Amino acid sequence: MALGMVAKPRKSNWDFESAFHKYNAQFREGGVTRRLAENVAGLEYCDIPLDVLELGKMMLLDALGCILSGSTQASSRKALRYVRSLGCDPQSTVAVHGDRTHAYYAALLNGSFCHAWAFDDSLGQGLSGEGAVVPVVLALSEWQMRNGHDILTAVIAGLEVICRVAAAAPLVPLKRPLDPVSAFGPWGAAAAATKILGSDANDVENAFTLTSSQAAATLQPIETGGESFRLHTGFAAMHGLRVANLARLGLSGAREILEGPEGFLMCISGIHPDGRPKFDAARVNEGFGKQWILKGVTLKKYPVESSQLGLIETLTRMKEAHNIRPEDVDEIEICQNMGSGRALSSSRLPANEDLLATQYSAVWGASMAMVLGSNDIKSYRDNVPPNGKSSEIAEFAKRVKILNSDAESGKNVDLEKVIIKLRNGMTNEASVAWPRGDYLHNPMTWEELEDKFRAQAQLGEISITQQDRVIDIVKNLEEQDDTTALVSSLVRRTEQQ
Amino acid sequence: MNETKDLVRWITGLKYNDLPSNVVDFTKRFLMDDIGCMLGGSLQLGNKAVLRDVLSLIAKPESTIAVYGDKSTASNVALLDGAFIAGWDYDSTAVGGGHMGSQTAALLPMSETEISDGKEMLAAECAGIEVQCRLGNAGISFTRSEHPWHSNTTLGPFAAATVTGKILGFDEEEMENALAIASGTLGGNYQHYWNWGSSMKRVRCGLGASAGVQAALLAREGLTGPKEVLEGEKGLLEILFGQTEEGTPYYDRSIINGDLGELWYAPTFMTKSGACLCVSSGGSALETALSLKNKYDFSPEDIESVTVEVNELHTYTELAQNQATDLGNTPTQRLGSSGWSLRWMLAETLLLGRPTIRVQLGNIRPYGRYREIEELSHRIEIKVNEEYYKEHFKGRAYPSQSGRVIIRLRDGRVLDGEPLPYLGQRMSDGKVNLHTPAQLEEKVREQAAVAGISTQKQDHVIEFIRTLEDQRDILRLIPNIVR
Repeated sequence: MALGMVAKPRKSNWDFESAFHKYNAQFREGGVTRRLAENVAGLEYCDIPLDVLELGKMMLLDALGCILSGSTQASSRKALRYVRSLGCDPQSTVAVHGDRTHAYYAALLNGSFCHAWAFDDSLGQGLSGEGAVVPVVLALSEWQMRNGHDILTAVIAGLEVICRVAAAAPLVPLKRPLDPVSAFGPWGAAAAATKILGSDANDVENAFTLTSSQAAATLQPIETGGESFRLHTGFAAMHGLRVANLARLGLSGAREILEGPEGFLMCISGIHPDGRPKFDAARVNEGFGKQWILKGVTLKKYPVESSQLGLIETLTRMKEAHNIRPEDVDEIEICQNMGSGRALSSSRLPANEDLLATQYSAVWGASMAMVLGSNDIKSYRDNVPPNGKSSEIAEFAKRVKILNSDAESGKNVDLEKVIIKLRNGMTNEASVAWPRGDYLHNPMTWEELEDKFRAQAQLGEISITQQDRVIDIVKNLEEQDDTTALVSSLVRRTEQQ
Repeated sequence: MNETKDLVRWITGLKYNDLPSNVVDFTKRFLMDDIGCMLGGSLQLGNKAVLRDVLSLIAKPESTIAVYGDKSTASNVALLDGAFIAGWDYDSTAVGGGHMGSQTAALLPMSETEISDGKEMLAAECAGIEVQCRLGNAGISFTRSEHPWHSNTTLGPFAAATVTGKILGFDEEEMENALAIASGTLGGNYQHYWNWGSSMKRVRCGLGASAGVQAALLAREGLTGPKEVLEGEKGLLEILFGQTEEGTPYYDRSIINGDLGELWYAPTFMTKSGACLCVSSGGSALETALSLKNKYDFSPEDIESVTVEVNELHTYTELAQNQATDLGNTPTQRLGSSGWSLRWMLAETLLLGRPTIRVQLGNIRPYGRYREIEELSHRIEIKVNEEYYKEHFKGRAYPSQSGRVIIRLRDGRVLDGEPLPYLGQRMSDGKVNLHTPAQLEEKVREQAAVAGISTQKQDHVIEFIRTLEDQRDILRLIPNIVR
C-alpha cells in the first residue's frame, strides 16, 4: 500500500479569543441565564393575566389543528416509519395515527407534524414556537398526568421563553442564516418540559445549559428545498424535552450559557473585535411576567412563510373586490419595505415536487392567489409542480415583480403596497395592512380560529364530534384533570371505533 | 457550488482498498483510542445521568451499550458510547476536526446492527474522520471564530451520518440526504471553558453521534434534505463561521474537497496522555511538576507556593486560575470541571501522582483527599512569561502551550523545572510527540481495567482492532467491551 499525503492545519489571521475576554470584562451582563431559570421556575398560573391565558388557549388550539393536518404530509409519514422502527415503550400518543411511543418520540413526531405545513404561528422573523412547545406539553402531560392549569402554564412559559431568547439575538439584521425554529425553539421546549416536570430553578438552569448543545440548524432548505425542514420543530421539541429530563436525572452544564463569553448568544449573533456584542442579553428577562412578548404572535391564515400573509390577503381582497381574472392581469408589482427588516421570503419559483418552495415563494403565493383564488393547504398540496394548475401559476408568476422600496416607513410591516396593472390599462393599488391573525393589530376571532382548526382536523380525518370535543376542552382547559380526553380526541377513529 | 455532491460521491465510492497504509494505520489508532476512552468514560459521573435516561427508555434492543451490556436502539447507544468516549476528555483529535469521537460512537452500534466486517468498518470510520476534519478545516479554529461553536455537535453529526450511511451502503442520493438532515440538529458552544459544570460538554460527543445516526435512518426512510447543505448560501459553513463585516468569509469552501483521496486527515491523529482536558494545554506543567516531585522528593506540606509560567495568553491561562475554587455544587459538577482546572489538576498531581481516572473519581469533594487538593491549589499561580521561552529555548522546540513550573519550598529551596513534553502534545515547531502503538494499547488497557474489563477481554479488543481488516464481523468485538 502506498502512503497518503497528510493534511496540515490552516493558519488564520482572525483571533476572537481576546475579544471574548474584552466582552467578558466590559460588556457582559451577568446572571441572565440564572434569572431566566428562576423566572420560569417561579411562574405560576395565577401570575398570568387573563388575556395571556386566553391567547395561550388560542395558540394551543392553533397548534393542535396544525398537528392534525401536518400528519398528512409525506415527511410526517417518513418520520413515523422511523419512530415505529425504534419500538419504544408506550408513554405518549402520536396524533391522528394513535401510535403510542416514548414521550421523546411523540414530541418529535407531533412537533414535526405541527410545522409540516408551515401553518403554525409566527413569532416574527421566521420564528414559530407552537411546534416546539405544545407537543412537549402534550407528551409529558400524558405521561405525568398533569391537569389543565399546568398545561396552560407550561405552554405559555415555553412560548414566552422562545420569544425572549429570540428578542435578545435577532438573526435577520445580522444576516445569520440559522433556522430560528431550531435556534430558539429548544429553549421553549425545555422551559415547558421543566414546568410539567415541576423542576426547581437549578434544574431549569441545567436544562437550559444542556439545551444549547442542539439549538441550531441551517436555513439552506429555503434555498434548495428538502423535507427535513419540516422536522426542525420536532427536533427542537424532542431535544428540549430530553434535556429537561436529563437535568432532572442529574446532568449539568456550564453556567451563564446564554450570556457567557462563549455561550449561546455569542454563537448565534457574534461579537465585534472590540468586544461589543451583537446581541442584547438584557432583553431575555426584561419585564418578565409583566410584559408578554408572546403577544406579538400572528396566527396564520395561510400555510406560508409569514412575510407573505399580508400580501396574499391583500391580493385576494383586490381580486374579489374588482372581480379580476388572471387573464386580465398585465403585471403585478409588489413593493416591499426593506426598512422593516423582514423582506419577502423568496422570489424563487419551485422545481417539480418542491412543495416547500411553493410555500416559501412570495411570487408563487401571489400567483396562486390570483389564479386559484385560494391559498389553503389543499391548494398548495394539489398544485405543486407539475400537478394541478401549477403550469398556469408558473406562467402567471412571470408577471409578478418584487420591487424593493428604499423608503423607510418606520412601520413594522413587511410590505407597503401592491399594484395590479390590468391589460385594459387600469391600475389597482392597495396598501398591505397587518395580516389577519396578527394578535396585536388584527387578531383572529375564536370563530375564525375554530374554522382554521376544523379545516385542518378534516384533513387529518378527525370526526366532527372529536373536533367539537377538542375545541370544548381547550376553551375550558382549566376544568381538565388530565389529558386523557384531549389526547383521545386527537386520534383518528375508524367506523368500528 | 458542488462541494456537497462531490464529497458525497467520494464518500459513497470509498472502499477499504482505496486507503493508503498510513491512513489504515491511523484510522485503527482512532478506533483503538476511542474504544479505550469509551471504556474509561463510562465511569464519569455525568454520564450516569445519560445512562439512567437511556435505560428508562424501553426500545428495540439492536445494539449494545459499552461496559454495561444493556441493549437499545443504535441512536441511543451512539448517544451513550459517544458520551463515554468524551467522558474524561482523554480522546483523540485531528487537524480541523477538533473534538472528535462521534464517528466511532456511531460506527460501533451501526456495525453491530448491520453485522459489518472489518474492511467496511475501516472505510466507514475513515470517511467519518475525513468529513469532520475537512468541514472543520474549511473554517477557522472554533475558538478563534466570532461564533464559538463546539465541534462535537456541529461537525460530529455529519461524521456520524457519514459513518451510518457507509455502514448502511447508501447510494449518493441517500448519503446527500443524510448529511442534509444532519444539518437540522446542530449546536453547542465553548462556554464550558469559562465556568463550572461541564458534564454536558462530555455528552456532546454522544449527541453528535446520535443526531447523525438519526439523520441517516430518516434518510433511509426516504426523507429528503436541502441540496448544497455544506457550501450553500444558507448552509453549514455560513452558519458556523460566517463572514467579516466587509463580507469576507471566515471559511474556504475548497478545503472540503481539496485533494480528496490524495490528502488525508486521519494521519494527523493526536491524543492525550492524561484523563483531564487541561492536558491539551497544561499537560506539560503536570509532567514537569511530576518530574520535580520525583527528583527532589518533597511532600505537599513542604510547598510554599507553585508558579506555572506559560508562553502565551490562552483561555486556560486566565480561566484555570478561577476554577480551583469554583467547581460546582455536586460531585458530578465538580468532577466535570476539575479536569479543566490546571490549578486543581496540578495540586492533585503533586499530592497523588499522575491524575488517572481512579485518582480523580476518588478525590473529588466530598471524597478522599479533596481538602488537601483544594488547599494546595490555592498556592498555585499561573502566569505568562514569554521572555523565558525566547531566552531559555533560543530556537529549540518546546511544548506548544508550555508549562515551566517553579516550586518554592518552605525550607527556602526554589525548584525550577523546564517544561517537559507531554505525550501526544504538539510542540512549538508544529511536531507532535505521538503515542506509539504500544503506548496507545497501554492507554486502552489502563482504562479498560478501571472499567472492570478483564485482561483477557482487553487482549481480544486490542487484537481485534490490530487485525480489523481481517475480521469477518464486529460481533467478536462487542462481548469484549462489556464488563
